[in-house]
Amino acid sequence: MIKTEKLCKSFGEQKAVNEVSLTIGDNSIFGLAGTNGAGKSTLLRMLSGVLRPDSGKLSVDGQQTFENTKIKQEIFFLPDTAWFFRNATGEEMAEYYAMFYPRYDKKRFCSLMEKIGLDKKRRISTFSKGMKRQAALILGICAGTRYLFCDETFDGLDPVMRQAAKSILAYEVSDREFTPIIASHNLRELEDICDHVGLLHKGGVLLSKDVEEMRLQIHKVQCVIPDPADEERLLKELDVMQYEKRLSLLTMVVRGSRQEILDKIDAKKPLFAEAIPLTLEEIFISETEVAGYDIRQLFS
Amino acid sequence: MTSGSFFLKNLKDQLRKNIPVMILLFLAFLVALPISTVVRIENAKIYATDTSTYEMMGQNLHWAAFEFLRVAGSENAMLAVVMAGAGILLGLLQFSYLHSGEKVDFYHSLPIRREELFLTRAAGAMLLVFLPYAVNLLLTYAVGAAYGAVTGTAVKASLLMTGFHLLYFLVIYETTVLAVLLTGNLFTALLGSAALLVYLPALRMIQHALNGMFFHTLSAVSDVGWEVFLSPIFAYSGALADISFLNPLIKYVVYGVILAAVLTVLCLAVYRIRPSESYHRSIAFAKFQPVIKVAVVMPASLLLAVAFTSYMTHHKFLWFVLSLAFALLVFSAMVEFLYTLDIRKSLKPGISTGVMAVLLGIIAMGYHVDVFGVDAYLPEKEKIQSMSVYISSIEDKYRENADVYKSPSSLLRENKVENFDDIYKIAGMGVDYYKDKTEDDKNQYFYGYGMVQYMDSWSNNETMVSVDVGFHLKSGRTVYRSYLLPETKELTDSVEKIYDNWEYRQQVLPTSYIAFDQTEHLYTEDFFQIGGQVEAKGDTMENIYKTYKGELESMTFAQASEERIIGCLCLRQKETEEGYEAYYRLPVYESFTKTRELLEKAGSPMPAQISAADIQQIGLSGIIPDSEGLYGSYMVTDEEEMQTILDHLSFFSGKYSIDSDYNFGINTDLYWKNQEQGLTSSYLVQETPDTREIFEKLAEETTD
Repeated sequence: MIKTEKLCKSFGEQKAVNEVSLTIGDNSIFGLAGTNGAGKSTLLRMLSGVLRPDSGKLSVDGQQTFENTKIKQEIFFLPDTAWFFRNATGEEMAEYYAMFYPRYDKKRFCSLMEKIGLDKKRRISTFSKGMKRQAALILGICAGTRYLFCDETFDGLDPVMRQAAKSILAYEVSDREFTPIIASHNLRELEDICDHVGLLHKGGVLLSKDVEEMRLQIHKVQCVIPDPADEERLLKELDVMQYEKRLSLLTMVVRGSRQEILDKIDAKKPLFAEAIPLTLEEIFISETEVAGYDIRQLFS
Repeated sequence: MTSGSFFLKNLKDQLRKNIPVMILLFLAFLVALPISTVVRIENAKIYATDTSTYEMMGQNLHWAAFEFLRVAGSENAMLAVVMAGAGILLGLLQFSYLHSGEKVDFYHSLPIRREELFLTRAAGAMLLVFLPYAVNLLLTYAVGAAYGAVTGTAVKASLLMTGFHLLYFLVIYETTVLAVLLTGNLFTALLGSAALLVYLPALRMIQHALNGMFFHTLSAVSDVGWEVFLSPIFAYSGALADISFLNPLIKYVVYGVILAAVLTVLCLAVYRIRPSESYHRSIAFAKFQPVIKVAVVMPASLLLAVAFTSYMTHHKFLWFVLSLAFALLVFSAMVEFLYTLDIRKSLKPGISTGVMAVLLGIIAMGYHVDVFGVDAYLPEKEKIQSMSVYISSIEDKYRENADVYKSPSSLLRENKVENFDDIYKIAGMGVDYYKDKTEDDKNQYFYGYGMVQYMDSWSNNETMVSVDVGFHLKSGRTVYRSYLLPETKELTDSVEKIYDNWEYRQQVLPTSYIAFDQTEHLYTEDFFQIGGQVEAKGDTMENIYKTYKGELESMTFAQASEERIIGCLCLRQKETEEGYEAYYRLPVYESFTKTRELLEKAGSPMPAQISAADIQQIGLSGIIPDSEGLYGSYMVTDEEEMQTILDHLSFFSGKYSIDSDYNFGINTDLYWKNQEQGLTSSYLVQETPDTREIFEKLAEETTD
């Protein structure tokens, strides 16, 4: 388990991470969302022991990570721009990592490289940007660590490769004790893979929630209620987070179970009623608006 | 994985990744070792026929073996340069990752402690240097063997020196690494390396420059042996210079080991606390920026101001202050620019600039008014345990003929006199003399110690006498002062009293330090060139020397000043264990009749007089008296004039004496009628009314 309490890090006068308190459970894929400069990379660097926090507490499996070799053997950090030795091949990089990570699986590295069509004997410097990211991800996964911190790793991957990468991560999570944290400024990238998402803004955590729970508890509903009085009563009966009315079509984002919401709408004898799936971004927009933030401005 | 196998794997990995560096180092060592051996041995073939050259060097080795020993073992400056260069190169290469965010993310996220990373890299660096060095050393042995030059001494020396070179490689490497750790980019790392390697000597140099500019009496004669230890580079080169004089290297080894240990601890500590995010800064530790700024800008400003002012002849202090202010603003802005990379911010003087302006102002005024009374230093007599004096014009007369050189500082340190009233009196004269002198007065002042100086002094053309004085205080402290004083009656009277004090004279005369029992042969030199080896053995030889010793030691200052030197008694000593042969040339004065009698009996007469009948002509050349430097020459052919010159001729040339009546500006060449004797030259002539009349004839053939 990863836990931070009032974690702070400043670069000069710039507060990069400001009192971040976060708990990330084991065996889940955690999405760390936030705008550029929100503090995602700094948080990941602190978690992986690259940076020393200025203040606050940080623990991975109950241990702080800075200069802690034992716990760092359980962490692999994939920075947004991965660095490889000059002229090194994928195989040589794997050899190098194997010196530091006791459970490094070189066989799996070879097999994964082959599966996604990357030549393990080719110099990584000759790879395209996307290929380098794939190679870095495979190198990280094969380290056999319990934690994998990916900073914008899916940027630059084509949709097919992105899906393949997500599948590999999902497989690893189901196969062994494995907790990847994926930082991205793009919520759409996180929504179909992450179990849990935290939103960072200006160095602090705006919210941190379980994606499935959010999906089950928040729904977007469109309906046409013939009687305006019924419509008014319905808005009071439901836990409406947002609503909009265009002509006779009422669109609402409502908290609660799907069936319960539809039952209440049916009781008002609607001419038309349907529940539409919410994107993660829409869920965040609704949640953060409730919290007083206009997330559309954050991601615009 | 065990730490041992990890360490080995890491070393192997480093070697594999640094093959280009190893090739570069291999080529550098190839030039510094085997190629250098070939070149030196081949060049030495020129001297090979002249074995005496090597005998003179005091080496009992075959010439090729001697050259091989110098390259492989002792005096290989090129090897030291390669080692130092390798230290700097590898220090920068191995830790420059700290200046890149991507590389820092990579290395610092790995499960390895920084201490371990540092130590494996340092070990890797040692290996990267050692392997190409070792291969080239073997090649050097092969080259040496081809010339038949490899000896046990050379092999032993080369192996010992391998350890020594690697030690200093480590010191320079760690110094560079420390600079990299303290900075955030390559440019400042390079500046930092240079600063760490030469900062303290630079400070010392600036202090000397300021002292030289503002003070008149601070002694240039001082014990400066410790100064080489202000920098590993200086210590390294100092060690190589010392070994060429066959001095032991133990102090350099101890210094190197201590420094390497201190640097290792410092590097580990700094590496551990260095923020990983420092790669975008000039200085890794932001808090140190003002301190570093002050540490760099103040000395740089002082140095520039001193250098600029040295070109000025008048109003020196004013120019010093103006150039100091200018340098402060410029250097301050430059450092700020390095920190911020913002030209506007760098042009805005900050608080630190103001603080430095105040500090520099205090330093400048402190020097100007001599706030610590450096030139007025004269401790109370009661506080002085003993004093020492070094009067170069007296002591150099002997020292320059001695193969065993003792520095003026060691003479001042060792030759203490408890009956020091006259030395104290000279120090008092010095304080009085320099009381009203300013920086501008130094324009006409030749700074340094030496012999009696002829120059434009502050008041008029005077003969100046250099006197160095050591105050050995009861507190245990020793203070040295150096005075250049006009040759007044008062001064020469004091010098005479000092010389005639046996306590002083016994330390100064060469007979005090010559170990006669080590003498192998006696030789003589004289005007007539009839000397040579004295055909005397055992007791006779000792008797000659003892007689000479007695006559020299009983000679007064007045006699030494007035009498002519008519030749010398030379002592060649047995070879020491280090292979060194001392050779002394001791002056024989006209009045040393007993010595001369014994020499004559031994078949080596030393006549005092030369008859004009033996001389064809005498060539005089030099500065025309009262001509303000005009140079002339005159060929004396008149027999009477020639005899006048010959009666006042002294054997030693270039040896100055206080209260001497020799004319040092005129050189004398004797053209002997006897063709075998031919031409002999460089004698001095006493200036009397008779000889002066002849000197004035130099004006007849003015050349410049």
